[in-house]
Amino acid sequence: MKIHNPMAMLLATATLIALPAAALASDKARARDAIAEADARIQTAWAAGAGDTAPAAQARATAALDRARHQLRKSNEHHAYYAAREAEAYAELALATAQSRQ
Amino acid sequence: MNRIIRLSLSGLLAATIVTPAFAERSDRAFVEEMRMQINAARSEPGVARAGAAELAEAERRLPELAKAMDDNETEDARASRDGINALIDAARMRARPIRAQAATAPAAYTPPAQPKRQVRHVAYRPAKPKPACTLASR
Repeated sequence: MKIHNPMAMLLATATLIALPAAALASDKARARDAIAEADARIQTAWAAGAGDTAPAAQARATAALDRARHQLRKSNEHHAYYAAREAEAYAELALATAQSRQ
Repeated sequence: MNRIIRLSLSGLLAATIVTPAFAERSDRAFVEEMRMQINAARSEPGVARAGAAELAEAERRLPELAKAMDDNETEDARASRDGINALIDAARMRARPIRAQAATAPAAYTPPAQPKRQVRHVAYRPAKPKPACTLASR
């Protein structure tokens, strides 16, 4: 195969390199956002007294958040995202339990 | 010998084609089961109103669960499933005070049953005329 336009070839190569990198960056941002949301929800649950009223749910939320942070440090963005979403759901349960007992 | 090799190769090929199809079907069945659980929770008294946000969030997570199962990411699928279950429980928890309130609220007033009024049929008798009030009668 004969390369007619070296510039076009260079551009195509740069695109091929840049696209996965952009996808990776968006995955990382998505995981970070999910972790931040879960953290905020856990803090709200703590403030509502979930530590006393729903200790099991609160403990699971905290454990899942720790797992999410650990996975993000290991650059496993997908696992980090799913763990953060789990943490957020458990924090929601802890918050609902605390608010229903007030 | 040649026939045996050909048969085993075609069997292997069939298994390769059929196994992911079965897996995909069971994944879809599991996601549908989760959707049914959400709908079942929604049909419980007070849950649809008090836990609407939680149930909507649980429903939004179903495609994530399906994707994790399609990708054979066991840990992600477990996390997603547990999250959905936690959200369903949260919706039920939100409905609990409403249910308790409904159980303790006084029932609507119903008057006590009254005995049937008995009607006596008596022949009409005109009242006796009273004596006129005069000074002499006092």
